[in-house]
Amino acid sequence: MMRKKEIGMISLALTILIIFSILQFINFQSSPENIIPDGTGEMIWVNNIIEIVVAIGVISLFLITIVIHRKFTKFEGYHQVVDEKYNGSLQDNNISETDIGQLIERFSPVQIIVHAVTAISILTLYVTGIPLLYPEHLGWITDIIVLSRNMFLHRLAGLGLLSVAIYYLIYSALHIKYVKRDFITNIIPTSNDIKGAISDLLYVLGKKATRYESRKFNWLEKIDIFSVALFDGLIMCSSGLIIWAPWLFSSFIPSSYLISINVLHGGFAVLSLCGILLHFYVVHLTLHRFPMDFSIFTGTVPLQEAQEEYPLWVKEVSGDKS
Amino acid sequence: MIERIGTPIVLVSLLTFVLVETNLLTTGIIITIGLNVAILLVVVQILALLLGISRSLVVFHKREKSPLYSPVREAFIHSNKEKQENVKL
Repeated sequence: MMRKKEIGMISLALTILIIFSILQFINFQSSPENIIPDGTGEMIWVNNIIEIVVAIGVISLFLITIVIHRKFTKFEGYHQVVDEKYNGSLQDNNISETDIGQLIERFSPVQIIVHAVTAISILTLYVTGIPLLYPEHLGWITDIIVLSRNMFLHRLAGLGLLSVAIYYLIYSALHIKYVKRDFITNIIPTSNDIKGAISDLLYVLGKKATRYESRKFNWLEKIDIFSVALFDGLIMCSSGLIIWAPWLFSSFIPSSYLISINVLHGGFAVLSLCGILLHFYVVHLTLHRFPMDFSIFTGTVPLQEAQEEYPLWVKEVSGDKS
Repeated sequence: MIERIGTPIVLVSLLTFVLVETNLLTTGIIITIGLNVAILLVVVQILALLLGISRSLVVFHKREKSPLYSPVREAFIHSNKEKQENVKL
């Protein structure tokens, strides 16, 4: 039986091997800029579909942010107590200071490292990539960094994201096979998450008095995880590799498709950024977490917060069958 | 105060992307401000990430120094101490 440390080492070794092979395949040094021609190309209808999908996605994320904001401002219990604690009026309440001080393990060291590398890669990709989409508004960033250096940083960050995606994929597969089969069940979306989203919406609209009880990850966190895995890890990395070295794919991808892939890369980058802005709101600006939530860095979360937000998970961890 | 201003800032930057991506408004000072605010929020996140990573390294260092170290236990001891001090007062 393999241990977690051995799985981590094997995953790391395989990731380095795969990334090294990709670099050899692409030839890291030969990366001429603007190799994909401008224009709409022959696949205008595909470009239009991508633009519509991105527009709908951005509007949805905007509306979700409003719903989440309303939800957090309606929260009571732990969140209210923490606010009162900060304001110096923690009195006549069932929750004591000791309760607030208790912590519960939520993230493993591997998850902490994967989150840190993913975050630094994605944020670097935004700073170096988004200005290329809106040169008249954000061109000053490219001017400061200089285009060639900007593209080098962008590709380096892209490799970081690709590495971490490959690493976590291998790690998860080995973990499921050799350690714990239910490793992935916590993040798989279920019908319960749809009920959770509807329930939260009804709670925000005042149609429902009680909130939905979540397991380890709620519906919004699952959207976060899957948007990063699917959009950033899969779509952005694969389209980014094609844009980086289009000559390598010319035998099976017609040149007219490259413009659409470019549109896809840019469009989903905007969608991804909007998702991260929502994430920024949740982890930095909700009242009980301001100025920032350290749980993904320390691996722990206050017990009271967990009981409030993930009651079913706390019951599972504590073995409470009620 | 900042957290109350922060929410509208996030909403404004998201609204900018809604306007741009739906082609309702693609040029002008409002769009420039919105997009720059979005990039500013990304930079703030980078700084927060660096702060968080340093916190992770502190926990890692304490674990290396003392294998029995646990942030959960430390928080428990700290809260108990606070409680005892409150009782004394």
